[in-house]
Amino acid sequence: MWVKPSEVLLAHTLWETEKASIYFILQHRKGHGNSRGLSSLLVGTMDSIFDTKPPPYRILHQTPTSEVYYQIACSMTQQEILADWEWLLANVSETLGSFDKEDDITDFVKCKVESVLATTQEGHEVDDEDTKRFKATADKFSRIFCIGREEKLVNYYSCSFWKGKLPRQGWLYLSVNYCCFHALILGIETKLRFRWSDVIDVAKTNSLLFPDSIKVSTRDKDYYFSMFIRKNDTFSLMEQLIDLAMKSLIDDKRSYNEDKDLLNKLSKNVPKKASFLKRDLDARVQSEAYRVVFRLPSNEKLDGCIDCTLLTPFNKKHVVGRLFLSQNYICFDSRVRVKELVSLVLPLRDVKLVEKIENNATNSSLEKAIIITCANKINKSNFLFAQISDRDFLVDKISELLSRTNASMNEGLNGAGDENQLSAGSGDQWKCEPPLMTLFPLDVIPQVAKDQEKKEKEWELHFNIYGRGISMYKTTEVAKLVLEGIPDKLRMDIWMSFSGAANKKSMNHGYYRKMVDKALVQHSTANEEIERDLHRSLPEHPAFQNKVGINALRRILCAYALRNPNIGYCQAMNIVASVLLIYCSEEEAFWLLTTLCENLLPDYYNTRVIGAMVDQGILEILIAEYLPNLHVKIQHLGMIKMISLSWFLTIFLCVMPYESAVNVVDCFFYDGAKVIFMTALMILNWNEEDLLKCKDEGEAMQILADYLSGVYNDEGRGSIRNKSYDDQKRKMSIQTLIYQAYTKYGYISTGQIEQLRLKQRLKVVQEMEDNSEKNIIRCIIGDGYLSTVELKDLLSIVREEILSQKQPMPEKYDPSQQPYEYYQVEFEYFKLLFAALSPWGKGDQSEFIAERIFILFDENKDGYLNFKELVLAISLTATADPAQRLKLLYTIHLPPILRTVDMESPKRNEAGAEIASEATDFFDSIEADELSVAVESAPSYSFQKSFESQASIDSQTESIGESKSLSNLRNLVLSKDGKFNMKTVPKMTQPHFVTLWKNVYEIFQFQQEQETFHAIAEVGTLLFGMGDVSKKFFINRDESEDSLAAAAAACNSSTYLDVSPDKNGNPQTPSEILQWYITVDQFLASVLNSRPLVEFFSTRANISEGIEHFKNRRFSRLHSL
Amino acid sequence: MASNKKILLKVVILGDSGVGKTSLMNQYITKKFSNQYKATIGADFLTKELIVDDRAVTMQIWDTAGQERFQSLGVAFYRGADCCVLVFDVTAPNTFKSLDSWRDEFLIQASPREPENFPFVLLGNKVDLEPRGISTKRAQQWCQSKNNIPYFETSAKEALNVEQAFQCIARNALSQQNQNDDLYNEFPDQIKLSQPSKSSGSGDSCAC
Repeated sequence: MWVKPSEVLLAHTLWETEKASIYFILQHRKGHGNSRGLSSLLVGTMDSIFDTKPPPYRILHQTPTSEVYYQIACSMTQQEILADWEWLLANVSETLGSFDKEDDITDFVKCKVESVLATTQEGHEVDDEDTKRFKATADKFSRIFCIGREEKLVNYYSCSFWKGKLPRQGWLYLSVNYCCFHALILGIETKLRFRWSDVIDVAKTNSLLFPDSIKVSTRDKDYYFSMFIRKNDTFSLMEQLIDLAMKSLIDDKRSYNEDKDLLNKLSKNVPKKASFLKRDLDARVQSEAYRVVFRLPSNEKLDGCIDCTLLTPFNKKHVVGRLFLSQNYICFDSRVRVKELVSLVLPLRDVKLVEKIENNATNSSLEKAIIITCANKINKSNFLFAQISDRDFLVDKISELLSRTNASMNEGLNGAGDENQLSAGSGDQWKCEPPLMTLFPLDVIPQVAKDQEKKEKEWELHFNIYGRGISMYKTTEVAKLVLEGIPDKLRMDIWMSFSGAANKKSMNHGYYRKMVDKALVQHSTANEEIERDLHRSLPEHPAFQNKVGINALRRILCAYALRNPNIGYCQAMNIVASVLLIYCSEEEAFWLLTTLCENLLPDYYNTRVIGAMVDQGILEILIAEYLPNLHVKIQHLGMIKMISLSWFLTIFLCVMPYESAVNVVDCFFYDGAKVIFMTALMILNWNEEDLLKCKDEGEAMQILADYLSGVYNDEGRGSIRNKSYDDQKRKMSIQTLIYQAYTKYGYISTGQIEQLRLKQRLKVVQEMEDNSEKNIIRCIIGDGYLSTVELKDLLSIVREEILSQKQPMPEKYDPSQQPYEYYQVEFEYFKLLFAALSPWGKGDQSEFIAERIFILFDENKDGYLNFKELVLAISLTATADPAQRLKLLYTIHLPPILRTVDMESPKRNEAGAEIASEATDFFDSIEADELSVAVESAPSYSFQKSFESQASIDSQTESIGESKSLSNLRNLVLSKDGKFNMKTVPKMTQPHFVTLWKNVYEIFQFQQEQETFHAIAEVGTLLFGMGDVSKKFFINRDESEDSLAAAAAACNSSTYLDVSPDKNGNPQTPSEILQWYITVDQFLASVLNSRPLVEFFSTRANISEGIEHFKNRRFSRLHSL
Repeated sequence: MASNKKILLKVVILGDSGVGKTSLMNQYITKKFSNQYKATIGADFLTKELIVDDRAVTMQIWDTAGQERFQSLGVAFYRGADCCVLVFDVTAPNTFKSLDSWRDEFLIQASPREPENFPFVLLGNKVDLEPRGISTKRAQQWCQSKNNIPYFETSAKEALNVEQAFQCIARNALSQQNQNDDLYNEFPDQIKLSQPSKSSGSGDSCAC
């Protein structure tokens, strides 16, 4: 294969020359072929470290006097390289002689090779996701770490991993779910692998021991990586992957799905060095930032950006900045942030015209300009961008996007029309309410009315200059106005456009109505919870003392609960929603609530209130930074968590008088969540002195509660203001509070908050995982079979299995379920676990026993054991007291668990029956048959089959009786000494006992002690004897047609004679077989009398060790595949 | 703990959303009933000075959010509580059913030293309303099964039994505090903190 000529300085180290001409040499790499000396080992190491793995053959070009070699071809096979070599000699070598200068020769060769290369590569330029090189690495990755191909490698980096105090140079592989490292130095392999979801911390560190490294901590261990070429790149990718893992722990649906749209991206050719996934992830980061800055809907993807200037008509300037383009928006943001700050959002749906302006020689600032004309219901305006270096490309792209927007708009409108017609026909009529303040006006306070009017004028003035609605030029001017509080009448429009809710609304015509119609007729827990809180939202406002307000509130909350089942309804949303309804008409309020829940306060209201906890953690960090004295105190009081939850969840609406807090909401919709932090810091700052004097958390809370309820707003019209606002209670005006907050803490940026959220989310999610683990263990530890450590180990491997199976985890945190019910295993996995952990799992009978136990403990028959059942199933064979273990052993050999069809062929029963009198022989014969048993039994115990067929054969009544008897048997097994009435336990027939004893024998087959075997034989004989004794009570039967005939009968009747349940639900033992039986008492007594057997059944298995082995084996077994 | 010092009793009220926790607390403290309370977000609290068995005490009553998803966030409030008041709505059987989980959660989070002897008081609220979903007998049986928890049937709206119930709460809290000054396993993690000093001690002895 020809390659682009590249310089090679050291031609002979590591390589051996095979052939040579004047201008060319053919070499093969040392370590290939037959030589297996030290040098090959070294070369292997080098290749591993540098990830070179070069093709083992190459051709170099060199002119006699030059010291530089050029590599012109390489190959994986000798055959191919020889073909190239021949071609060179035939076509090139002769021509070279005609050149005078050696430089010319080299030029010619290079030229020639490149042209050959170009022709062969043409047509190869398929739009492939990943480069070949990357694919090869991805293959290697899945091979080394035994990870399936479906696990996608994102990127890989050269670095060293500190194993103890020694750095190992190797490769760090980052995939969607795993972090892996591999090194191969002088034949010593270092390999490690862990899941992102197990990471509890990641940090850049720099210590003497581990200089300049990245530290990744999991619950078990800290890992240090260093010597990165670009540490920050690696670090931020790690952070991003961890965050993805955390988010999917919060909510499964958000786990990573790759975005194929990226392939069709409209942008110019981006160099495709990194993997497709890496590019995808990078694009996500950029899009995310873009959406946050311009408040765009969450499916908006950044397409590209270009430097340009924007003509700002209000001050007649050309502002330097950058234009961003995505599917539905054109946005602009100024470069110089301080003085000429301006940003602009133009929805493509409003864009009517894009024109190029031809070069105007007199005015260079208008070079390469375009004018975008936007029009919507409110106004029409032009926006002039200039100095766009790649104007034609931009215009093409905008027009392409526009054509798509129009198409989709038409679709949307048509759909909406249908909806309206449909809902008009449906029974319950309702209409969207206008802002409730217009329906329920409060008493007019002259001064307030005047203030409001004055403000409205100021805003109108601003609109005239800067435009209104979404496409307003946003400058520091508007920020000033917002800080002073938005006048009531304008709140809706301004909130809608600043928060980005207007974007959502305009893209979803008819959506709200549809959701409401659907939500109101359904019954759900969310709806019940909402109903309870409707009158407890903003009871002080007359609108909510009336059906009109209550109904509107019900509609938006129920519609939202339906829209987002991850949240459903969370208390606090009712308070926020009711305030929104006061100022906004119903549909607008719904979209504001949506934006608030999904964009501005992510995860706040979900079932575990994670977002609010994350932000509380951030507040604590900020307090530590800005109010260090108070931080010490607050930590001592342990109070920050209690006070701030309501601040965050309701944006102060339930802690301050709402007409004051609504000013915070103004800023919040303009500036995002950072406003809550700034305000919170300011409130604490203001009360620092008093708080420092507090003796307990109650006092501190009282101080803050008093202060907050005393935040007044003389410009607002609230109902409380008139009644309970005496002068003594007035602490501070909301305007001052906000102004101060901005002055003191205004530099806290959204980016900073986002960065902190990343870290804090990791912490909170992992704490929750820890807690849920603790909860599970607490639920189970009471059973007393396994220790905490053992449970932890077991849980961790079950968890790993569930994660790697990518099983759809059932809806988490359903209150009616116990925490351990989310962790469940199938039979296939149980079988492996059982074999690894249980002392009964060592022989051939392991699977047989595992299956019986599985049936016994799978209470709901769903084919899964939940974690509690799993623990029982394993520990009752491994750690329970001997009597319990023996009861289990007895039980699993009773019908319906051990059915007649499960037992061996008639032949075996015959044998058993005949030799019953001579026990020793009996055991010998079993030994002899052992192999055949294993062969026969293996296929017939295929679990799923028998499970299904059983279900299908069973008539309804039988299966009820069966499950009743199963639960009875479970109770027997679980009962500890004495409590259970042994009389109700079914007796065991001979064929069942034969199977049981055979299994006992096999359980012991790895025991070497002669004494043990002797004991088994002895006890077996004894029990057989007992069975015979009981037989003698059935005198009316002839001796000759005893057990043999009975056994035969039992085997012929493949369905059960034996499942007609008695009143306890236990299958009655049919009378024909009753001739030979033993009872559970007899069984226990006999076995417990034999010392070696008791010893075996009372030895506590080392579960943790077993788990450790199991883990290692799985890792290496997969490895060998 | 010096006995002449003013005694602070911390009482936590738990129960499902909408059973009337806030109303009960406010009825007891302000002697008023209002149907204008907002749903409690996070937690709320009020204090009351009173005399119990001739001793002046300050009772600090913590009112909590009842919605399921806030249940696990209660840790901060539970620690150091002297008495836990469980509330259910006698007309809503579901609120009775979840008492067990509230009690368990409290014991887990607060981890008092003797969980089985920790003072709980059960209030069946809204007895002014019909129809009854949970009979007195059933509630009493539950109380008996939990080591004889005192039970009161109250109506925050009609101020029925509220005073008596809180008297009992105060007395139980106080007696508990007297009996056992150190009710809690203070910071179970403390053991870990003392470990380094131990190891440094052994290091010293080696040096000697």
